Amino acid sequence: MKTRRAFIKTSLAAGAALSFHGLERLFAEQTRSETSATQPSGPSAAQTLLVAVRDGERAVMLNRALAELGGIQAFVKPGQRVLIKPNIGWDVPPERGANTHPELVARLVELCFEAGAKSVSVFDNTVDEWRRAYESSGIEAAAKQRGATMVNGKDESLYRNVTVPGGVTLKETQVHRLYLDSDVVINVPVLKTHGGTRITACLKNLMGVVWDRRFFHRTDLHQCIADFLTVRKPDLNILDAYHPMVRNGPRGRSPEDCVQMRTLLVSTDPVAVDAAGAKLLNFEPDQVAHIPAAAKLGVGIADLDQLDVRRIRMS
Amino acid sequence: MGLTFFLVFTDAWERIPSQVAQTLARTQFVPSIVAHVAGAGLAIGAGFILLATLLWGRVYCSVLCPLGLYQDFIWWLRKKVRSAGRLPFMKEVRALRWSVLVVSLAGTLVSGGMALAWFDPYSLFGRISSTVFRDAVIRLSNSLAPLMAQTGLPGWYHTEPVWQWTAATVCTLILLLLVTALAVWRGRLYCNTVCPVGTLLGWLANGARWQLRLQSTRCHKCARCLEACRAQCIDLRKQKVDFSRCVLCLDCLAICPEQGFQFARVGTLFRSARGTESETIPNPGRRSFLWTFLSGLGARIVTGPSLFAEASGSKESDTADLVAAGPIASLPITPPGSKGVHHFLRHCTACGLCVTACPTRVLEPAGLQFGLIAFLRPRMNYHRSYCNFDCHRCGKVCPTGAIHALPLAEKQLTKVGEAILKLDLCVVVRQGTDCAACSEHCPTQAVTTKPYRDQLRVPELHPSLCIGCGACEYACPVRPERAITVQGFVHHGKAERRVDTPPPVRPPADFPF
Repeated sequence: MKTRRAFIKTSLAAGAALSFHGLERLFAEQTRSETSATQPSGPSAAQTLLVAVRDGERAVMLNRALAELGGIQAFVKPGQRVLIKPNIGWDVPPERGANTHPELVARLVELCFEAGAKSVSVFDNTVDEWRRAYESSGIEAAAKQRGATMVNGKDESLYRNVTVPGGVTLKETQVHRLYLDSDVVINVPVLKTHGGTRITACLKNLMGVVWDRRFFHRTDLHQCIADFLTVRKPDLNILDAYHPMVRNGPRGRSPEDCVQMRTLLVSTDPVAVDAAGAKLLNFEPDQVAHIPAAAKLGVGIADLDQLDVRRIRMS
Repeated sequence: MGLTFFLVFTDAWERIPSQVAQTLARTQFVPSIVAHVAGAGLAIGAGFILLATLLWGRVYCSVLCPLGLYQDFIWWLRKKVRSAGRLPFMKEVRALRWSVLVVSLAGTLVSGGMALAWFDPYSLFGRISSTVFRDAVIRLSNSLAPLMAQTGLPGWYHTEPVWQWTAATVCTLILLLLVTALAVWRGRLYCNTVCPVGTLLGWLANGARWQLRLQSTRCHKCARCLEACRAQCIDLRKQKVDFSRCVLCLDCLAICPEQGFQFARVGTLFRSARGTESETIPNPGRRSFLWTFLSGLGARIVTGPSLFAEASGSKESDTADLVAAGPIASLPITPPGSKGVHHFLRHCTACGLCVTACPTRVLEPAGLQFGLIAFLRPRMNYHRSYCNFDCHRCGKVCPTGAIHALPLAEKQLTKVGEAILKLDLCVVVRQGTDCAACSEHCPTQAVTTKPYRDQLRVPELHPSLCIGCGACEYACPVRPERAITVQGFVHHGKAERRVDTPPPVRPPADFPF
């Protein structure tokens, strides 16, 4: 009885949230248009930047967002080894929205090489069979064509055991050496709903550089996801919310599980990106337990009011 | 040819096109016949082999059979290391040869491909290769991987070795050691005393048009030929070749200083020279065997596969009545396209081609899960991996029709088993933390999550959508007993397809933050 009542309440609340969504917008602060985005764009003294771009193509939005953050040169210096970590979890084609879109990865590889990167590696410890996932996702072809190296994420000998300095639950884990040793780590997840963690974005995507995911699942998944950030925070986080999966996530069944949002979120703070990403999928950041958990560890900011949010519309 | 088979069965990266692997396997005698009976293909390979045997003797054993070629390789190695000396003529062990053949054939009539599989040289070689040799190739390839990465050769990657210490793998290793030991000791002994295909083809070879003969007028009994012969079929005392056991290596032709051996048409050369020889000229029994075979082939072409399919289908449904419908815990799970345990076991010869071809390596030779008689038949082990939703390579390579090549859309609705959820074991219930590893992996949304206490979400099963691919069982982190497991179906069924409604979330017209 209790659960049924609770369920009805939740559904009502969700329904209300949905229906009021439009109304809320009326009172929301006016968003910056492309013309007004030429305001001072240098990093403001204390606040972390979160750049949100919408209504453009992926590569164009990426260029625009990076311009706001000082360009790719602010992150990739000549001669550096770069790791790009997309979500390549599933053996499904790009239109299914289960993996990061290859166009975005392709543009990112180009940008890294333009900035003088010595090498650009791409990998994921995939969920489905890795060679099939690399191929179906279109990422392997896109990345290789632009000179990046696709690395095997299923080779345990490439993983190294590390202690998790700020870990509450996760004390040590095996991490892919590219994540630990690369000069620059760029985290490029795709935004999706997730049956267990509600959403999957920047923080959840980092489970793809860990060898033993089962430990996470059986030992307080949310806390482990948050703890892992204390090993190393990606230098740049780019969330592909162009065509996010809004149900049946994280694998999905068909392209109908996705809706077109044409949005890209970029920040040095993965927690901030995830907080905004949660909002895109109608969740409050607090409902996605690893977001507040990570904020509590001090590895990022979940409160969007504390951030310098740059909202940019491309059309 | 032997090398080709070796490569196909040890394909460490699952790169060899499935069509190539299947076609190659169909050149083999037993798979070709079983496929014919299963309605999965015509016995063209077997037809050619029989025809060739009636013309020239055991050509199959000489150039096609991978196990024979393996034994030749061992024999060659052995002679490199230390001369084998002269292997004396060995009397035919007729009782053993024929009893293996009779038992195999009788067993096949009763239980399908299973009985044949034990001694069929192709399947035996495949089974050994896909387990032992493939593991060796993978380890070798892995040890080269760092070097290859340094030299900048792209695409050379590490892959998990396949060897596990199980009854199945240990028995396969023992089989390999036995075959190898026999080859070192006495060359093609297996082919001439055990192999049922060798016995059958040998019987036909006795009536071949062209045969190998020793001309007593030229032979000085120098016995050089005995050093060359790997089949011990040259009887110098009687100056005769037992052509039923000759595997056509033809080394004797080259080594004989007197050119005493001749490969010639029976009935022209020999009939005039030695009147007694005419007794072994092609006899009606062998001719009629070929004609029966060819008419069987013809009947199959005329009637199409339905005749055999129906016949075997009705037998299967008889046995089905004995077993209750629904999932059975102890039942091993057979791959999609195999229709169910009965069809699978009737037609599988355990050659291991599907085991090698499976990119997720969920297929592995079974131990005693199917029972002793079906030892080493492949099964899906969900503790090791799971069946990839968008893959059906096993059906594409299977040469015997034990696993039919279903169209992908049909494969994705084929229910090989069904998940059973034990919520009391689930992490969410026991520990009060989120998990959802099972629903995350499920390709059909047969496992989803629903709200539970304290904002948690707990798995929910929709059995009608489940195809039994095992992704949930593989992913479940609970040990020792998993909270979600897949139980097999005796007969594979069809899953429902979930009807999609438009997505609940409409894209916001502006930034929601």
